[in-house]
Amino acid sequence: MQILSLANQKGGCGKTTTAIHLAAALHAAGQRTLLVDLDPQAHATLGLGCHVGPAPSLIEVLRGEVPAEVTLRELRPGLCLLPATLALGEFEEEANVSLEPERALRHALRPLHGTFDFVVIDCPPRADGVLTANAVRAASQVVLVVETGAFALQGAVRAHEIFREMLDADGRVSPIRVLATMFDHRTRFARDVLVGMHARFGEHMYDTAIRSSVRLREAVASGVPLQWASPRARASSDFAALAAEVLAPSSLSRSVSTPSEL
Amino acid sequence: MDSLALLCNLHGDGPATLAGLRKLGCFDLSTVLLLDKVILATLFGESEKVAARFSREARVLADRLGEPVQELEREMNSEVEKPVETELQVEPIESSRDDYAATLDIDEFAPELEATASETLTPFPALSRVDTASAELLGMTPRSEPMLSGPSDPIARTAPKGVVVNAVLEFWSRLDGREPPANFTASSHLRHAPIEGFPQSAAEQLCAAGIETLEEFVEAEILELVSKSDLPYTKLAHLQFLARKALGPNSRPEPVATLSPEPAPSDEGVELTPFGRKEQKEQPILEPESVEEGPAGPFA
Repeated sequence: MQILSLANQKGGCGKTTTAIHLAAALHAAGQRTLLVDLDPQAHATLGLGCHVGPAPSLIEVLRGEVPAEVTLRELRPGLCLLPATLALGEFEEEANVSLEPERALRHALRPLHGTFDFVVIDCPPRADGVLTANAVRAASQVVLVVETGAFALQGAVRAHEIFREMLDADGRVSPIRVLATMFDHRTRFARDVLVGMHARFGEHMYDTAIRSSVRLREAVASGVPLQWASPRARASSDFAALAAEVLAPSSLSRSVSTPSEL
Repeated sequence: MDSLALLCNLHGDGPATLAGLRKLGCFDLSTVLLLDKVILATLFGESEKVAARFSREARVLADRLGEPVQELEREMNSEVEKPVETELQVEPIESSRDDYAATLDIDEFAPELEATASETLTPFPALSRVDTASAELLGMTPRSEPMLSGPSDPIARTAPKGVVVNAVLEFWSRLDGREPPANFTASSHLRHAPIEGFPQSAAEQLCAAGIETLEEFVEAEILELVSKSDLPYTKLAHLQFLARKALGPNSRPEPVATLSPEPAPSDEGVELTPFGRKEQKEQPILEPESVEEGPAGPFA
């Protein structure tokens, strides 16, 4: 089971949109996929049109009150969501009084090995919180989602350093992959940012840059992944290409599975 | 992200362009510069102007990233210029080898012939013609020094017409892992036809689809070929146009431009039909008529 954590400390860089559509693309490629909404804003849950209500969600799973299987929402056969609620924000405070809170997600996902081929985690817009630490510790591949906009590169370099320190502290050698999003090739500024990202991160970047698309935003707002509504849309092909890269043997060989205690 | 992917994201259609270029065998910026504009235009479904712009952006990006494209271009230009110089000086050259087969030394195609050769490598009239014909088949310009054997070479002395050429092509085909077809003719085989703008990869795909010769390709239905091969319709249409153009009105491929003088007719050795030319018969040597010197031109 490969676990991809999509993270960045900057908000609005496309983490949630990428998580939703990458999960849908991996599912379309025949992979059993689970999307974990680790953002207390629960935007991935909303973006897939799910309403949790009083049912248990990720916060209960992290507390160890219920197993993860109980909370899963099946969107389609082979594609599930582990939903979040606004209550997930409480976990940051509770972490002060719990033992090894940054490993809670890893332990929670352990029973799902064999059930899913891929787990995609949508992280909160923080690099130093407990929730993000959970995502990084659980991940077999950390994906730094970087918008090709102003201040993006500076923030990405800083976030990269933080995630690198986390992985080093955990004894992990897997490189952090970088994904460029919201790329508008018509503007010189976006092109310059992409060239700058290429110069900074080089081969650790995915070949696919997710292009800016109004239809992606509309799809998230309507609660349906774009691949389901418009499989031939340009953004759909971008995510299909990204999924193909993730599935490629070279990509998998770069990621290192989580430690044996998982 | 490699530099080619960056280029496709910046100036192309992202993953679609990248996949198309990789399908064509391009894996870095320098190979994009080697691509013909017509092929690029076909790939994009755009005009050659757009393709030229993409190629120009590739060069700019290569400069920006510090990739050694200029050296490659310089080498290419020098290779292109070489034959012109050689034609003027009528000297043998190391050819500009474009395709995979031409990158291999011709000796590798006929090790058996080489094994039977004498150790003394002295010039041998018939061998120069063998060399010429084989070199033409390989898309090369010939070398003057003998490569196959010396005077005691039994094949060069006794082999019937076309045997040595077929032997060379057979070894070539073995190198490619394929057997030559039964009705193999050197003049029109798709993989060996050096047509400008006709990529080797496309020829390989057509061969895999059962199209072995230019004539077959010209007569084939494009729609059928689309289903048999991975090549898109527009590209097939363009390649068919190139093939038809190469075959010409007489349904014969255009002769390869050789830069060496025609081989002198010889009594010994193998009679070979040079690639793309009609069989040459001995022609009476025509002496230039003596013309009285006088005024010429419109004022005569």
